[in-house]
Amino acid sequence: MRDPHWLYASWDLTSEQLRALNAQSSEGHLVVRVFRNRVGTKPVAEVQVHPESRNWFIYVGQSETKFLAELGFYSKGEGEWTTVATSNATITPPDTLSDDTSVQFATIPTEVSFRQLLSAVQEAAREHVPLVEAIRQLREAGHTNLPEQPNLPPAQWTEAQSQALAAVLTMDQVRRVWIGSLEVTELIRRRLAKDISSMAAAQLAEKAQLGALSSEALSSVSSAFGGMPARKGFWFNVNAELIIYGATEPDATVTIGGRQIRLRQDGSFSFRFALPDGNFSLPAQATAADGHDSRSAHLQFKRATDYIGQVDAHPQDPSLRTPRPEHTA
Amino acid sequence: MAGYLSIILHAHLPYVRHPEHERFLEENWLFEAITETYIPLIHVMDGWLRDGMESRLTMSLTPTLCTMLLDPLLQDRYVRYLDELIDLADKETHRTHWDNDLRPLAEFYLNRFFQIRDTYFAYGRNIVGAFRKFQEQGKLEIITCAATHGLLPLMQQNPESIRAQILVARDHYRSCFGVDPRGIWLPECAYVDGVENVLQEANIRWFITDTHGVLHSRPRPRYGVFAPLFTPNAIAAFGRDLESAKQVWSRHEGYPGDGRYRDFYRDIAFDLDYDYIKPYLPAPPNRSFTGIKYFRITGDTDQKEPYRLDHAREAAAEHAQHFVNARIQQVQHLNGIMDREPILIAPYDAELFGHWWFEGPQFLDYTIRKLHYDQNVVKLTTPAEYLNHNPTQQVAKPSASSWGEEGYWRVWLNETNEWIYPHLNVAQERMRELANLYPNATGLTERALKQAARELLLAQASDWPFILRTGTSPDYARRRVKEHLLRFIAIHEQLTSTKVDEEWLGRVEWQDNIFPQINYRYWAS
Repeated sequence: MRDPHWLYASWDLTSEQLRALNAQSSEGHLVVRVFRNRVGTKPVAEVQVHPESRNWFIYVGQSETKFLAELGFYSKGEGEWTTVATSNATITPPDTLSDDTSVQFATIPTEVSFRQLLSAVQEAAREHVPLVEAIRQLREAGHTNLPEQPNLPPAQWTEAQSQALAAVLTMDQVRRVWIGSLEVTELIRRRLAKDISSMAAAQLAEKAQLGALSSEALSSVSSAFGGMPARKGFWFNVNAELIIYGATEPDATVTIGGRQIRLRQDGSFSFRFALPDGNFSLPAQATAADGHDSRSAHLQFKRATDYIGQVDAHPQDPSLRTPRPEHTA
Repeated sequence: MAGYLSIILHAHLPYVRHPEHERFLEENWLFEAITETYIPLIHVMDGWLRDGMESRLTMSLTPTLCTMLLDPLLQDRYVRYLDELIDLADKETHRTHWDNDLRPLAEFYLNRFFQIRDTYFAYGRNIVGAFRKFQEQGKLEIITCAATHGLLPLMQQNPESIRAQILVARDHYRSCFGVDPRGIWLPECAYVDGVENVLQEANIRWFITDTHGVLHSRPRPRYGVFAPLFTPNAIAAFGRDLESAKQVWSRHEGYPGDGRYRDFYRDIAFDLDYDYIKPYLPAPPNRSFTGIKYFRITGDTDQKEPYRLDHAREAAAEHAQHFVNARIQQVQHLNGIMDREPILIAPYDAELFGHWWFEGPQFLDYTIRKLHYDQNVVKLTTPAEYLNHNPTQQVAKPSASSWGEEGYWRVWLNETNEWIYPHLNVAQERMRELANLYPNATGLTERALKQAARELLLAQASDWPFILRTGTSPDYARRRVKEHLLRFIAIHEQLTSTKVDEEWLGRVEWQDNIFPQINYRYWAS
């Protein structure tokens, strides 16, 4: 079973086996029949499967029910059913609160290992009974080896209490809190790794309205928890940076802009500086290792930009690739 | 004290280790998690210890994650990753020299990465050991998970496979923590009738289900999810509380969407000039996260504003206060209705705190401190501690369920990934046959059987069908499933029809070296 209303059936046949069986079938392909509780009753579902399929998802729409399936076909001519294989049984889980409001309590000492509990139970010849039941029976029979059962909850549990609790638990919520685990991580990676053209983004937006799951998750998340509208229309980003580079003796101390920088092993260095609009100065100083000699350069920069149209600084298109050599000047 | 709160963090990563490559993109998942989640959590927990607080937290550390954290090759690569990050952060402090908004952030990151590096070495590069310390101090309950995070309900046709996933995990836990695990985080909280029998064999006393796992139990749970159930074989099932989950997780209503928090996407890897950033990219020309991000969510807009550390910290404090107030109200209200103290179970992915939600560890810190210092209505506890003090619970059978989308197995069993399962079923059956065929293997045969078991476990990881479903790194996931299945098939053939190729086996052992002491006999029927 896959959930309260769906089954998953699969069968292991080779291509030749499939071909041979399909050839015997009046419709050229196999059929899966689903039964409730046991084979031979009227099928609750009968699905025609694709000639090359080795599996199928089957809607049964019934929770808390035991199902079995048969794989087979209707023969040519007589149209008689021939079974190829019968499945194991599976039980769909419940999809509602139980109607059974009976209550049983048990006291289980968690510091006592199961092995000890089970051997106590075995000795009393109760081993074919579930452990909790066995412990209860032993208690009733006055077994001394079991811990006390203190403070059993009162048998009284009023309707009012029931309803008050039910009001707290809003299982009527259609949408469960979506957890994600690895999923959220991967959704984000996918969004960034993929080349999403604006056309694809538009397609996704369409699908989101149709309620497709993956696109709902994909569509515009700027963080795992916020939304960012899909980028629309033509765009252009421009930034400017300076590279200050140079060299000195490898054991010298160099500061740029008053901050010490690390030199490479050969005494060279290079650093990038983001250059916004404005006037800036950048002092660069090198001092010999013995502290007796120092040189400095005082660089001055100005950047002024005129814009025509909307020009931003970033972000760049995440899917931007470096231009290939043949495309650059 | 009117009730209990148990915060549970699930830390998991699939086993990704590629000694055959100098660098491998997907190994970065681990490095990012260590940098952004595990070490920040250790910092926060160290603070609680230092301040003598009665903090209580529960964490699952999966076997694949622990193995990677303890692996010397990956530890070396992590140090390399961190050193490169420090190098980049250093350059950033210079590059933002004239930018008064961004430069303080660049300096913040540089300091932070140094701090993380210091902590990593202070613990001897052993993150698992760090968490073990907190457990031994009684402040953290560490629980186990299935060996390779396989989705157990989809293995029902081969119960030995379920058994092996649990027992291999139990053995691995013992080797990491020196004691037996008392609780387990079932992968994806996916429970189906029968799993508890294996748990009993491993002496595991409790597990968590999603809300409907407990709510839909037969018979109906008197206390909803606000008390655990005992399965008929005496294992406790704790159900997730929706309220505490929603406030933190919900994409629309949750705290992490606040505009003051750091924006996940605006990483410098995507903003800056390619030539500058290229040396720091694991797989150029693809740009991928560095972890240095300068902008905040701001709102539903493209124009992101610079991140403000102080405002973000205020937001975390506000949200922690809100969370604590909400839990107090919730517990008081429930206490008024119930004839016993309720327990709220609040499980989250560990990665939420720090990786997804950068300020998550700060939020957690404020929350735990407020719970400890500012009130006495809600008591922090762990499920095992709660059971020790409250051993009397209702008996019922939980419903099959998971915490994945839609609550059952659809995420891992749909058109994108169902092709995996027929292959897994065959492999699972064959592993059982092999285990039955060779009850007492030694030497080369035993090596082959152990490796077959490893390949099967690695193929069973629920991470692969998950990734195929979300379509993120589908090629990688597909490749992993196929490689492990093909290796398994080859070993099976060598063991049943031909002869074990020792040289080839040696290479495979080197490649897929998880669980060195694995007991292949767990697969016997």
